[in-house]
Amino acid sequence: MKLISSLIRHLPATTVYAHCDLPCGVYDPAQARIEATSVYAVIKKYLSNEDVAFRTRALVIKDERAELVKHHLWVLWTDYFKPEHLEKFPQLHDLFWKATKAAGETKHTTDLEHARALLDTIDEIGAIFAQTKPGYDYESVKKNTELQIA
Amino acid sequence: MLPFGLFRVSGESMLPTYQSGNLLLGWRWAIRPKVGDIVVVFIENRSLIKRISAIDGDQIEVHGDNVSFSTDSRSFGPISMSCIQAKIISRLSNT
Repeated sequence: MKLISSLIRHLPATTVYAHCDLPCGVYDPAQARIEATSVYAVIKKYLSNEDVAFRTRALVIKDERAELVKHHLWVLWTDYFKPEHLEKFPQLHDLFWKATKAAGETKHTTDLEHARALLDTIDEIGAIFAQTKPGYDYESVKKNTELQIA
Repeated sequence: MLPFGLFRVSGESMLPTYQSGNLLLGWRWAIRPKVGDIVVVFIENRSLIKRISAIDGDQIEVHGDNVSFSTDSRSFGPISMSCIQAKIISRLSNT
């Protein structure tokens, strides 16, 4: 019996997950939009200041914020959007790919155009998100964050 | 595909029925699912083990036995019957 038990234990088996993701169900592209706005704002400050210490801090903060943008985008991409959303908005995969690449670009450079491109792509995702959540107003998110970098 | 498959549980959502590490035997062919069956379902690119709690036509709802710690139809909704990969018929070992 021991031999059989031992053999059974070593047979290849498919892992079946009995996990709990504890999903809170709260998702919002505003998180990515706010962090991307910070990236834009910090690049602006970097470009208008010659102080080396300030500029170094600005670069560190810019890269941290860009990483947060990626994180928030990935949460939306992998946890919020479902196959039915992708069926309705087939451009979603491409948009997320573009947005996360754009977030990466802002880490490589201090070019405001890259930060603007990131914001614009997040806005496209935000507009789609709003269409999947009745009553959600992404335009307000956009307006409120734009106010802070005007 | 063989009619039988071996499945190793990972996680706590099927407690107290099955615990993490249990080795289970599942039947894959011509499954006729009914409420109460424990099944392996393939959704969101992974295989989950859950108990069928409701059947409505081609749609099933699945839940973990450990309801406080289970991600199931309460979060991802009903799923298609075609997601069922196997029906668990026996536990082979505890580790």
